[in-house]
Amino acid sequence: MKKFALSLFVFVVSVGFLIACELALSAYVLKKSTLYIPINKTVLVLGDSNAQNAFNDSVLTNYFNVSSLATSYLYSYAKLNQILEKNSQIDTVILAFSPHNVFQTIEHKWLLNPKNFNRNIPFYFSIMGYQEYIVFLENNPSVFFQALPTLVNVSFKNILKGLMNKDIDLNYGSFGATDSCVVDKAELHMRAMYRSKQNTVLSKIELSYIRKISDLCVQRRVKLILFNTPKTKIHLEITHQLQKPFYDCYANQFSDIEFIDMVGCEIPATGFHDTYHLNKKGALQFSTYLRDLSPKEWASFRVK
Amino acid sequence: MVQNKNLKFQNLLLLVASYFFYACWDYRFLFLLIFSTLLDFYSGIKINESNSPRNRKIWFWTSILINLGFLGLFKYFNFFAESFVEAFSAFGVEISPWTLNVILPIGISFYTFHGLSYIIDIYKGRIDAERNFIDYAVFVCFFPLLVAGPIERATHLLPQIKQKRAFEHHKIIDGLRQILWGLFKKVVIADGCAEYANMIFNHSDQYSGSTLFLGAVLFSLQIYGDFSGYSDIALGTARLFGIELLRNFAFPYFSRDISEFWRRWHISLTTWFRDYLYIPLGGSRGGRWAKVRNTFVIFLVSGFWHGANWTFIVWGLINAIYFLPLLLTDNNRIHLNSVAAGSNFPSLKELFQMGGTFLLSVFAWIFFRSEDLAHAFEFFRNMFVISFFKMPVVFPTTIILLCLFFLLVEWLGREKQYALAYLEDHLKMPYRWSFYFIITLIIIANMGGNQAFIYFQF
Repeated sequence: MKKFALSLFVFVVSVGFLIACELALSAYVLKKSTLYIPINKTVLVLGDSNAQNAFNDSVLTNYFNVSSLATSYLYSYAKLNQILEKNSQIDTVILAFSPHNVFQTIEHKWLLNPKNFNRNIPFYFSIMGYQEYIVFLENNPSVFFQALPTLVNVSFKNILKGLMNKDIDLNYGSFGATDSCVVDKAELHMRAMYRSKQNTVLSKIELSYIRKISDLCVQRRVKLILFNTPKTKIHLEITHQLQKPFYDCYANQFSDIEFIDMVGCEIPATGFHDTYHLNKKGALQFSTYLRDLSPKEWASFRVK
Repeated sequence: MVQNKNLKFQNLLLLVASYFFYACWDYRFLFLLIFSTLLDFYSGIKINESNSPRNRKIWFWTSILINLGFLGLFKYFNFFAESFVEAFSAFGVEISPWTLNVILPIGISFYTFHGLSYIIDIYKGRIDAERNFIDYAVFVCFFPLLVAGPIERATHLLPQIKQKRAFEHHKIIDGLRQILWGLFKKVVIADGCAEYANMIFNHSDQYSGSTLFLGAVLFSLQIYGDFSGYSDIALGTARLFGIELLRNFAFPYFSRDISEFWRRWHISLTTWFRDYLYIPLGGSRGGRWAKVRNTFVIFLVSGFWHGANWTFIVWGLINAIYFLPLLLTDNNRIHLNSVAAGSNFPSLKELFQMGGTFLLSVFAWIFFRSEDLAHAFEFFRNMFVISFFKMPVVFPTTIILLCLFFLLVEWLGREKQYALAYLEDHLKMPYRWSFYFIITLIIIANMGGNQAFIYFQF
C-alpha cells in the first residue's frame, strides 16, 4: 500500500511538474512574441467589443485597435502593461467605458465566466501578475481546473509554433466590425433582457482595474481617455436604469480622468450591427468623423 | 481504498456506492433497479426451493416476463406504437399513435440481462440461488458495469463477490493502467472523432463521397474508442476493488473475417445471446437451415437490443448477411488465434483480410449511426459518386495522426488483455512512465469534449 501510494504521488506530482514546464515554455514563447506596433501609431484603443467595432484604425491612421470581445478591464490592464513596455511611441490610450462595463453583473458574464476564461487564459497567463491570479482565486477558483485542458492544448501549439519560428497570434484583438445590421432583432432581445429591474451595484473588481489602468498611464506618462462609443436611441431608452448610476460612478471615482461621451453621436440605424455596436458602415462614418474633429469639437464631448 | 477485510462491510459499501452512483443520474429509476433486483433474488430462491416443475416454471416465467416487460415498456413501446401506425397507414388506415413520454432508465438493457442470465442459470440447474441479498445486489448493480456493461454472469462474478478481497499492488497498478488507456480511447479518440463524424453525418447532403466515407471511418473509430474505452475503464475500476470482469473487446478491428469480428466485439453480449438464445434455439444442431435461421435471429435480436429503431435492426441484418457465407461454407471458426501471432507485421493476405473486414464493418456502422433508414440510404447514395475518388474536403490531420498512433499501440498490444499491458513486458520503467506521462498529457489536453458515452443510451 505504501509503495502504491508513493508511486501514485510521484506520478501525479510528475504530471503537474510537466504541465508547469509546458506552461513555462509557452510563457517564454509568448513573451518573445510581444506585439510591436508601427511607430506612426501613437493612440492605443483598448476595451471590449464596443471599441472593437467603432474605431477603424485604417481610417484613424495613428490609432491601433487592440480591443476584443467581452474583455474585462483586468485583461485590458494586463494587455496594456505588456504593450506599453515595448511600444514607447504610445502617448494616448482610449479605453471603452460604457454603463455595462461598471456593474457587478459583468463579473459573472465576462470576467469569471469559464468560457471567457478558457478563451483568454492561454494567452494572458504569461502577462498577468499575481494580483490578477488572486482575483480569480478569490472569486471563482474552479475556472483554473476547467481551463486546464485548453491551457495544456494551446500551450503545446504555442511551443510548436515557437520552435518552428511561426508567428503566434497573441489574441489581443483588433478592429472587427461586421457588415450586418440586425437592430430590430436585437431590440427585441434587449427589451426582454432589461424587462426586470437591473442590478446597479458597482463592480469593485472592474473599477479597481480602471484605476490601475489610470495609474499605469500616469506612470508611463501616457494620456488616458475613457470613451463611451455611439449607441442607438433605442438602446439608451431600454437601459435608462443604468445611465444615472453610471455617470455618478464616473463623477465620484474617475473625475480626474478625461471622459469623452459620444453615445449620442448621430449615426443612422443602418450604421449599427445591433443596438449598441457599430457595423462596418457605421464604424467608417464614425472613424471619419473622429479623424476630422477639431480639438474644440472634441472637447465639446468631454464630460465635466 | 477499503483496508478493512470484513467482506460483508466491503460488499455493503460497494452496494451503497453503486446505488448512489446510479441515483446521481436519476434517483426515481433507482427504485426500478432495486425492484428488479428484489424480483430476481426472490424468484431465484423460489425456483431453487421448488420441488414442483410447475412452480419452478411459474417463478421462472414471472421473473422473465416482468423483466422483459419493463425493458419493452421503457425501450420499445414507442417504437412498436409508431411502427404499428405506419404499417396501417401504408394500407391507407390512419390511426392516432398513443406514445409514452418516458425516459429510458440508464443501464436497463444491461442490468436486465444480468438478472435474466441469473434466473436462467438457476432454472437450468447450473447454479444455486444466492441467499445473501447484499451479495446478489452487488452482482446486479456493481457500479463499474451498471450503465454499459460488460454483461456479467453469476457463475463468473458472484464467486468473486463472495470471496475476501485484499489490496494487491500489481492489480491496482494494472487497473489504473487499463483505466488510463480507456480514458485515452474515450477522451482522445472517441470524442475527437465524434466532432467530425457528427458534422459529416448531420450534414451528409453537403459533403463529397470521400468525405462521407471518412466520416463513416471516423464513426467506426469513435464507437470503438467510446465503447471499448468505457469497458477498459470499467474493467480497470473493478480491478481496483479486486474484481475481474469479463473481457468485452479483443481488438475487433484486427479481425480477418466477420465471424472473428463478432468473437471480438462486445463479447459479453454476443456470448450472452449465444448461451441464452442461440443454443436453446438449437444452435448449430438441426441442419444447415436451422443454423442459418438461428444465426439470423441472433443478429436481428442483437440489433434490436441496441435500440428501438429500424436502423439497428438493419445493422443486425447486414451483419447476418456478412456472416452467412462463412457459416454455409463452415469457415466461421478458422481464425481463432491472434492475427500475426508472434510476429510484428501481418502478412499481405492478413492485411487484406483485416482491411476487407474493417470496410464491411464501416458500411454496417453507417446504418447504426444514421437517424433513420432514409438517412442511411441517402448517405450511401451521396457516398458512391465520382467525388468518392477525390480528396476529402474535411481532413482533421491531428485526429487522424492520433488515430494512427492509437492503432499502432493497439496493434503492438493485440495479444494482451488490453493494449497498454504490452508495455509492462517490453519497456523498462523510465520509458514506460514517459509513455504514461505523454498519454496523460494528451488526455488532459483533449478533455472538455463533453460527448456522452454512446452505449449509455442502450
